[in-house]
Amino acid sequence: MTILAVSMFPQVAVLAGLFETVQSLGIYNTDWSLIFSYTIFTLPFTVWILTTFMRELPVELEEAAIVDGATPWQIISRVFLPLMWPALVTTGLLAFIAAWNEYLYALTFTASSNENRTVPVGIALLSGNSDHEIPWGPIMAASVIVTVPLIMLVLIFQRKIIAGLTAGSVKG
Amino acid sequence: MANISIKNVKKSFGAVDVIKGVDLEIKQGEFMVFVGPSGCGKSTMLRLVAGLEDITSGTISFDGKVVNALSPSNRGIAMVFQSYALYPHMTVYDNMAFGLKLAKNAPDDIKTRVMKAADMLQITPYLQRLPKQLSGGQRQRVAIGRAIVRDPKVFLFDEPLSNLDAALRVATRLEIAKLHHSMGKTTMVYVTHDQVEAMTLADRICVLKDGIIEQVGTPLELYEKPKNLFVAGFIGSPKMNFLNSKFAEPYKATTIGVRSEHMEFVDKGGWAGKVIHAEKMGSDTYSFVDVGTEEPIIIREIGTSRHDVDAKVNIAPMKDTVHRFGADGISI
Repeated sequence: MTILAVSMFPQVAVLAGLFETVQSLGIYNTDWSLIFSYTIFTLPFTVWILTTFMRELPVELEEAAIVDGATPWQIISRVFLPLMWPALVTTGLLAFIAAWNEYLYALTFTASSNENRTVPVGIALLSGNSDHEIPWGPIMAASVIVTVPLIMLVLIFQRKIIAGLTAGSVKG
Repeated sequence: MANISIKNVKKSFGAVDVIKGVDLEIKQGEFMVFVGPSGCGKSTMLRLVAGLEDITSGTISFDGKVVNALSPSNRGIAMVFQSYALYPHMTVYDNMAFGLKLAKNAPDDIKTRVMKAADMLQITPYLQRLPKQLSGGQRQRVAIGRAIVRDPKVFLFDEPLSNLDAALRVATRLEIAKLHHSMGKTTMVYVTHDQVEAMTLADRICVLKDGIIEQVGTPLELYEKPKNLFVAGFIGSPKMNFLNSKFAEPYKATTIGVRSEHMEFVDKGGWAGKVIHAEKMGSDTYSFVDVGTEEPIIIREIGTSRHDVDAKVNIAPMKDTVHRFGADGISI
């Protein structure tokens, strides 16, 4: 729960402090600034989901593996990881979507560099021929194109997302 | 293929003492059953022997060699879990071969051993299936198969039948008994709360209560000569009838116990009472007679009963079948 509390702060509240940190690290206007800040904000959420999932894995599985002579590393890599795939993929996708759609940090940390802008910022900053014209056409077109990678990812991993892989391990 | 020797073993979880000093010798090839009510520490005992839990004090040795610090796989044990604990992402074959693969056995050797075990348990047709495509009984057999292929010195069962339905339970019980005969030199330790399983499978039974051994002996020893009230009441179905005060005085005991098959209806004398209920099982009838004790006395009759509910009857124990217990609950 402590971990989750971190993500309860509104983004604006930590923006100023994060901006200072990004500047002092010398990563302002680079991809690293966003990698850094998105990691901070998606980790608590993903950790929380994955721990919940891992708690539901039956203890007997681990014990059976111990009796079979597996080392802790083998238990993780050969028993737990294969079972964790759906959860890993699902949380990975959620974290990806959150980062993909994020606007505030992207605007603050990369807006003044044309190359490093993320898509939501790029779309927002699209401007028409004059100040009084909003280019709805290009904005809509860009939004559709931006959605395509998300849909592709979900389609590719659809099968993995289907839960219930643990069925059959223990009774029920 | 191991004698297990448990010496003054204690186990505490924090401030709670679960096992309070257990001494027990299990001989090579013996089928030992731990039985007791829930919370008596029987599963903990098994896990201590398996090495899944650390011992707080005392020693466990296999063939004279102390194994306290050895990991489960190095002790040469195999365990069948109550919930099967099959690896859900592996086929039946891979489930059974997993331990051997980890031990880096040759692929040919793995194959022969898995096929042999599968053959023995009649699960060869399912080898390429996933656990979720199997029924409960089949899963349990795979779990037993996974244990067999490791060719263990000690075979541990943790309530393996409690997730199966009644008919399957009887069939699997028979399978386990056959397994014990065919693996004659493998020591087996089996935990159950079901005294019928204990009576039918065991060479010797160890009755546990609150982390202490109440009695160890062959099934018939426990049935015919229970050491105390607890064992007398726990072994046998239906439960032994207990009577005290005025019923026990003529026998010079605080409490007397009579099994239902040792009670009979008599024309006069004995204890007078009223039939309050009769369970008709077909082969036997169990009549419940209220003679003024706290719980009604149960009497077994072969076939159907000649006594209707509410009938006034006289009942008496047969000659020399009464178990006598002193004020401390110990058999006299």
